[in-house]
Amino acid sequence: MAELVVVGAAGVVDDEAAMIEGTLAELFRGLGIGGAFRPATDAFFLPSSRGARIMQQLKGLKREFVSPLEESGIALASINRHEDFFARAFGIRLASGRSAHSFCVAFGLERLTAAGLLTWGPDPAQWPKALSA
Amino acid sequence: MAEGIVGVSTFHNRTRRTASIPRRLVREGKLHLLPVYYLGLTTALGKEAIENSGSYDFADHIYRNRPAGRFLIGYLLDALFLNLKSARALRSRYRYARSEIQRLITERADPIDVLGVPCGLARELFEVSAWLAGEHRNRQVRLCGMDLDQELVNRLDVTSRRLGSGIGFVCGDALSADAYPTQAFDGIVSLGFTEFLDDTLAAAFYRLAHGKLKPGGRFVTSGMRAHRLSDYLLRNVADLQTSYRSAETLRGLARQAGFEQISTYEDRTGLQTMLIGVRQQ
Repeated sequence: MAELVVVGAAGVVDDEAAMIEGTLAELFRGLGIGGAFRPATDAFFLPSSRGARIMQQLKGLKREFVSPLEESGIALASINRHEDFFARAFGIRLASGRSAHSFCVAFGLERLTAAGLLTWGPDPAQWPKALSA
Repeated sequence: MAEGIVGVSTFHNRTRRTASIPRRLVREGKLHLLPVYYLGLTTALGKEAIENSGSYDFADHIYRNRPAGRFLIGYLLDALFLNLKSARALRSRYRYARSEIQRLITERADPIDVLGVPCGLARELFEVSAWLAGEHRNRQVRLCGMDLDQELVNRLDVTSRRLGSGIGFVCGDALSADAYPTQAFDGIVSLGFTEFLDDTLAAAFYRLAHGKLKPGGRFVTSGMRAHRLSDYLLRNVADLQTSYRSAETLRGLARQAGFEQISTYEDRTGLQTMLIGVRQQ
């Protein structure tokens, strides 16, 4: 898995997460990989109790790009909003003294590879040009 | 020559000195950056930065803003890199430069001479040429680009002829007065060059530009403030060393070079500064 973490003020982090979600959805569509971002409930940093899951869904903390490559759909990327969970744990503060917020965008490398092979086939010559740079 | 050091290039933007970046990262105990290095290599931006530091292709990839990479992951990460605050700031400078040339053309009487130096892929010149062809067909504007890279100049000549843009390209060192075309210019544009020079050389370049302007001519150039994360990654993973400058420092250099009328403005991120210096009438 490849993961990028963004840390900053709550508003900035929310804006960046929304921007990245829009960008990724557009990129997948542009490459002919179907799917959409959907709410998910299995954030790795929260307890898995039913209450926690409901709160997480209500707050939209985790969203996954789910592609219909197999019957049940497969998550190729996810955006996990941590709010101030990690910033509090690691003592990351803004210049104002308030706790920072963070989110990560994660890509499943094997899943992306599989998605590519299923979409364009095994011959790299048949892949989109932008993927051979 | 010390082990791990490659030959010093005459290209100031090619700052890479380490033969093997992974080996250096291991030597410096920065093992956490090894996955970043190899993942970076899958992206077009990271690969160009690592292999050719601050090359014209690196800058133009950011200007063009079209993601590319190896495999799906490289493509997706490249798109995210192109959206970083520092990349957005860098992109803004060529748009501002293009607007400044267009403003110069609309405000002045013909004929007008504009030089891009060092011109790199001269995206702003080609776009101004297309704008002239579309909206100002009868204007007499001579656009010229100069770059140290002969191979690049040959490529640009071919492109210019193919597009019928009329832009002339010459090979020459931006820091050598003799290399410049003989005529004086109404506008001189320089993007992403002094970012690789120390203050002494930057001031010398500003003086050369001042000397090549017609009275009332404008010098359009850029400077950048550091974005901590991007600078950390570029220095450590790509060996890309940049001279960052504030607007005040840029104004100071322009004053030293003899510009009488100086203005600066920043892009929305606050990282990119554009400086406009005017030579006295």
